[in-house]
Amino acid sequence: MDNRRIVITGIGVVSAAGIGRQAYWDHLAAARSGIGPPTSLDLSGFPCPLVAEVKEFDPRRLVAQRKAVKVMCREIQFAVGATQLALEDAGLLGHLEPERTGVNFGAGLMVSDIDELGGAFGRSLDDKGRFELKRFGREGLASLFPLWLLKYLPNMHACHISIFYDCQGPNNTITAGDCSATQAIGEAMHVIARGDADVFLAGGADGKLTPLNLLRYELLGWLTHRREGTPAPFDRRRDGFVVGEGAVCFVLEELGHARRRQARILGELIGYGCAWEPGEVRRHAQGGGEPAMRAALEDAGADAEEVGVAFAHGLGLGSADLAEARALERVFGPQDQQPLVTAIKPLTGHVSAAAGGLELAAGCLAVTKGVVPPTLHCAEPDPECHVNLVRDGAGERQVRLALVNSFSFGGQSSALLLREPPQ
Amino acid sequence: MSGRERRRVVVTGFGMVTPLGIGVEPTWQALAEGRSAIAPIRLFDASTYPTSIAAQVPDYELADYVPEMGARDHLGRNERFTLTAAMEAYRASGLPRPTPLPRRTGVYLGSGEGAMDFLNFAALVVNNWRDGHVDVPGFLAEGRRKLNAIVELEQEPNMPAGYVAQLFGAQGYNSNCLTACAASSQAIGEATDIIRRGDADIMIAGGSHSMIHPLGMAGFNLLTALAVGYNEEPARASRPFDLRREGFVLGEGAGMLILEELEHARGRGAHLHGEVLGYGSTADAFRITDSHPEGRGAEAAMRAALVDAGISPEEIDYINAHGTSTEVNDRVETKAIKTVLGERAYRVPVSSTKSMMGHLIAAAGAVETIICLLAIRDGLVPPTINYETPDPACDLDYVPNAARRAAVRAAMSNSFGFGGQNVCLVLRRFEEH
Repeated sequence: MDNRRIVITGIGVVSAAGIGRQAYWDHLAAARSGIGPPTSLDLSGFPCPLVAEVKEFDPRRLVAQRKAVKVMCREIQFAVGATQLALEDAGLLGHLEPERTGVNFGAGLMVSDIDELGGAFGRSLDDKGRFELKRFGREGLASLFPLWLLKYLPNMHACHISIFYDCQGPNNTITAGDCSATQAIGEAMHVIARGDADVFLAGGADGKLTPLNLLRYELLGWLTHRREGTPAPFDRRRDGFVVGEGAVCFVLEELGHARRRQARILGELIGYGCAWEPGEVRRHAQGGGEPAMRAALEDAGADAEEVGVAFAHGLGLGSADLAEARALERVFGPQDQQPLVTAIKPLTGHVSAAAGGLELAAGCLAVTKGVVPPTLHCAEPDPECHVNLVRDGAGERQVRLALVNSFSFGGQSSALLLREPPQ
Repeated sequence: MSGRERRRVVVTGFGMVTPLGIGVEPTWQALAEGRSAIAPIRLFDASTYPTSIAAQVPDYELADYVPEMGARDHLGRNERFTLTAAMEAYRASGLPRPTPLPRRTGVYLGSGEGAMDFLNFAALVVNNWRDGHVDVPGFLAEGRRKLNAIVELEQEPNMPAGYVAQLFGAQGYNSNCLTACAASSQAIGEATDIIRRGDADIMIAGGSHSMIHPLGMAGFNLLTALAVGYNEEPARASRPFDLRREGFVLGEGAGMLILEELEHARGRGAHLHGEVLGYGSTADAFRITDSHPEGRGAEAAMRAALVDAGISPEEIDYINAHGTSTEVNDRVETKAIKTVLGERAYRVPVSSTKSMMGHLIAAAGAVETIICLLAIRDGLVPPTINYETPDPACDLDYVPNAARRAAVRAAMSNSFGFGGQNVCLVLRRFEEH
């Protein structure tokens, strides 16, 4: 990478494990999980009874242009809220240079609210009460909210953010499954490095606590069916993940820019790697992130031994965890030589398109405060997963380098390398 | 930018699937002849929709183009287009399969999501509708019996990039961006940067999309973005820059390019179709429903692409406009082109190939980038058809109704996404310096 260095000067989090950087860090440090039974959905009879639901999110406080809320589905509101929090955290609210500020947000496949469509479908029934396209075209369609489509377009996170905060620089939306946020942040780094922007608002958002999305994950066999002690990354009883919702946004800044305004720095991004792992496209990347982790280390010019903690993707899913454990072993060596390894999805839930961002925000806690949150629920470590897992209390220790590993169905893998704030 | 010499990125192959044909040459032939592919929708019963026409890809068998994927079940339409176009591009590049540089070959697509399993989904919603709400336990229980896991998974927008990587053994960078109508141009721009910065030597870049499905058509109709007055004469519906334009017409398809670092391409004696010289990405930062009235973001994207290319506006010989045929886009784009190019704007042919193939949404930019390379190759500028009544607000040379011979050394491709994400690419004939 060029000699322009990229630092994190603000973090905004909207998650089941806290809203706002400090609340999120407090949750992580206390290992307080945001997972529980849902309050907004009736999952009776559904085999996965747990979710990681965002509670007490107030769009009136966090979405600057309140009248725009009606054209935003829940995850867009989260994305905008996380950005507001990140800008407040960075002390940059109202101080952005429009043409030098970019946005890159990771997003998931967004689906319409079924109640919203249900009303229109109800006006589209034939004499036997069955849905009929002809009637939908003639009557049902017109009963939908005119801007309905815009509520569910994945690029709207980045668009609303650019509008609210007047960011006229480079603007992108990454839809790379579970790697989306990781890649959005990695690419934002490169855009600043190549000189096309000085500040980036980068992160990811997802809102898969909808009946259709839960159904999809269940059909794919990815959800845990247990009620307690789950999800359990690298545990022999692991049986799937818990779906979470939320968003995370980082203010990324060129170091000189940050220093000139005497910004508080929460970490430096020094490496980014991205790859595709050979194998069945319909499964989670079968190399467990190895090539991306290696590429991130190479990008940073860092040795594996320098890494103090690796934030695993740690889905709590059988073969994915095994592949990741093997990848960690190949990159870092045998268990006793590995950095600390932890998986925070038992705290946050799996927030697909935001996942890597939530882990990076945890990485900032590690490199600034020396706090490494533990991996919950790994009571019986899988003897085949040789990972140096942090299983108990988040003791303080000095961490200079933190690595975030993400990989996805589709075969994508991505990793970020974070360093402690420069002196 | 650093002082050292920048790595140069050339195009060594391209492929496309469009409503005008399966492959580059049939599409290019149709564009040269000024043919429209717009017709009544046959993919589903749209007869009662406000707009019942679209530009649809002709039926074909994937197995005839990509035999190794022919037996794969449940691939979405966008995925089949992706694989077909990528195979054409890859074959044209002359690269052996699998790629000789697996870790140095990446994929960056701007592919849209797949189509929903709509009729099954609608039935599920209707069957579980109780007192103004969907009964969630009922919906979930019935859905577990009636929906297909793989059909659902294949709708994820990162799946096409995974399949392309698998097909060619590309284990390098792999991503998908989805910036609405700018997506596949953005993918080409970002892929170019990935090669320039040294993270790959070969990138397969482009995009694919089909929104010609019941919810896609409904969504655009609700936004009043589509032409509604031409259902009886579909070939006349898409009329960019014409005074009587009234909206865009939905198309579908895919465009794929093989981008390669210059020395690598030259080292293997590849044919160089042109160079990706400049990329600009900006945001309007105005409204999600309208473009900025002065075309602020469009203008900035064009300027950024020219600066990145290191050439002056005087050197642009052809512009493939975003030219959607909506009242606002065509007026604002015209204004932005004039601001950036000054007097030159009136001497540069500006055409919208959407007049013939409709709007391919996420796939539009990649197909239009390839069209720019074809214009460079053949010295032929495709027309804007249905240009009949001039609009005083649109006063450039839109290459009305018939293709034209013109030497094209450098061309510009504009793509402006819904919500205000703008991308401009500058392509040039390959020259040593």
